[in-house]
Amino acid sequence: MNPHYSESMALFKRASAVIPGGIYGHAAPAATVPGAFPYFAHHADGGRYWDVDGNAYIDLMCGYGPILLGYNHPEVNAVAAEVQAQGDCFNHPTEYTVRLAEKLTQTIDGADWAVFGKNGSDMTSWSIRTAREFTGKKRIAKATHAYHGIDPWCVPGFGGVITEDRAQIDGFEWNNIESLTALVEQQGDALAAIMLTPFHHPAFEDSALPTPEFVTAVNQLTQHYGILLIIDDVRCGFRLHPQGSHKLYGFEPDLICFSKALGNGYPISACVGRKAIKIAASKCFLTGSFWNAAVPMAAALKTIEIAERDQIAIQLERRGTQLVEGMLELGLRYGIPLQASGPAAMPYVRVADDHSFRKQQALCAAATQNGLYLHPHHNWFLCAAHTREVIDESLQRFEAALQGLEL
Amino acid sequence: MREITQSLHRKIKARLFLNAVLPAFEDLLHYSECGQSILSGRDFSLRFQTSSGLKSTLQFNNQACQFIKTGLPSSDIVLHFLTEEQLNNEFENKGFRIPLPIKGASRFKDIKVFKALSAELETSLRPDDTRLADPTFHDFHVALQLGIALRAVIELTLHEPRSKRIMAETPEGIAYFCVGAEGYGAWLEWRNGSITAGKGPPEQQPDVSVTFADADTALKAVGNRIDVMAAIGLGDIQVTGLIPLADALGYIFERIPLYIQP
Repeated sequence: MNPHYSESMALFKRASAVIPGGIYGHAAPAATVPGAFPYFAHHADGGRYWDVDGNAYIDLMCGYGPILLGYNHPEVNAVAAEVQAQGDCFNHPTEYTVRLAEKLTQTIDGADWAVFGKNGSDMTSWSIRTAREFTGKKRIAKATHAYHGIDPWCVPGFGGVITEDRAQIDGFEWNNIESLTALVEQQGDALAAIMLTPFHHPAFEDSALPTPEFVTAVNQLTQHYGILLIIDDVRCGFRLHPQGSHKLYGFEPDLICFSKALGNGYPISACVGRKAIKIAASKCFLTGSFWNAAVPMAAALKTIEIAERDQIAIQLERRGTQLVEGMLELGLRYGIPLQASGPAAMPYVRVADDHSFRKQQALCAAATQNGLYLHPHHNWFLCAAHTREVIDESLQRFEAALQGLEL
Repeated sequence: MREITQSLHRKIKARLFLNAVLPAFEDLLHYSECGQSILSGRDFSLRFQTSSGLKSTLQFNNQACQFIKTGLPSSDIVLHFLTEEQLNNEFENKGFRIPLPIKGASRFKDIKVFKALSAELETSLRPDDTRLADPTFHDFHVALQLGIALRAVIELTLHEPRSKRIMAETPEGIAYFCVGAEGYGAWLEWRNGSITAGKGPPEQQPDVSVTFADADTALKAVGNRIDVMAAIGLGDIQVTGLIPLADALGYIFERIPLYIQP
């Protein structure tokens, strides 16, 4: 274990005695390079966080997406504190639920109603039930390797999943019109929905933007065959376009799922949909003990307001471009060819011609140990606290990592 | 998790006994002086077969053993099992298991030698603590166990529906598994829908390397007896490179105890 992370390791030893895996899910040590990255966070502010060993990082993962405006955003936290003082979890929803639904229908292109949960999976799984209720059909299509949450129909990994969980799920290749068309022609009469992320962002692969031809094919096929198009905007929402990421690429969805950035770190997810689907949606039971909590609703309202006011998506695009162009240039300078994929606000830069990811793992570990937290296998996230100066500093830290790197 | 019929389960188990466990006699004769002493220079071949068509042969000569995955037609002794369950019972020492000796029934001495070798293999796979304390024997024991596990993964990948599905979605590459810096090593290569394996480090740079801190960790990991994710976080198992390949193979390793206990 790197001596930088002795407290992380000590805490992990305690964790592994009482928690399966020690840390599970996307934050598990096995998801990065165990021993080369911190395991536990201590606190955060703006675009940075500190681990339990006191190491500081510029955070280019933003909590894997929820942090849109920066950690501890004063306006969001002030609203949250004000609402918290009145109580959070009641027998009933509060006015904030109604206000947030109204705000989303005013803001998101194609949204006529909204429902709320806590995590992205709550919404992606509910949305396929709603699509089945609306269409009277069973099957769901998704792009191969696309992540849509942790429910059995889509969860990555193998544990506890039975064949029947996936019996009604079909796959097609992202951006491959032939693959999609063949599937729809074969299963179209049985397909309730196609679920897509706005761009393809699987782990251990380069990201891929949708081609205009693919977008057109998706729109035409879904409309022709009476298949609902569900956009899983959980990871991208509010980072790429204030009216929903589908606006950026031209998708015409019937249902859209949000979470992550919606509350700037406060736990909330949402699904919005077209008017025609509202009655079907009303029939699909949806609830959770904490899902009506007022604080995340209020935080989301303020987050959306700030994202519009400060044109956050444009800011992130500019800063992401600065970051990516700077990294590619540094890679050339140090003789380590890099390649970039994905939109600038959610880039993924990696060592070129590195099938095994070994070089990428070494690069990201070196960057992290130089105070720039980069994930080797997952797209990155920018937030509004990543100012021009912070990106300049990020590139300095990235250069320091390259200087000491032997690949 | 089992998702298959009893019949398919019995058939996969039989394949594991025939193609993952029987080859361990090669290692037994290669590394064990006791095994060589039992064989005592005898030359004979022994075929196991079932009515459903599964078959494997062991050929003993020159103080060594060669495993032949397809049945050797000219085997000196042929043991025929009417059902896979009968064959499995033979390997598990339970229930009805007496095979039909359709050839070589009179080669009592060879059959006796094979039974003695089987007993030696059994005690080498499940030794007492005293024997395990001998470092030379310990290394041999680990090699035996991991060798069986490695071959079992290949059989599962080829024949078990769930393992086949998992591998179909797994990126191609070479995975290298080793124990400590200088210990047991073996590789598996997943490419073009088939899987191959070998002992020692692969000739090419592996796409993913899985290093177990010690043999105990390795045996527990492949036997699904430790929290592998926690062990990775603690550094007892190190994984670098193409992690999805190691994940998939690791999951299949963990399925072995659903069928056999190496």
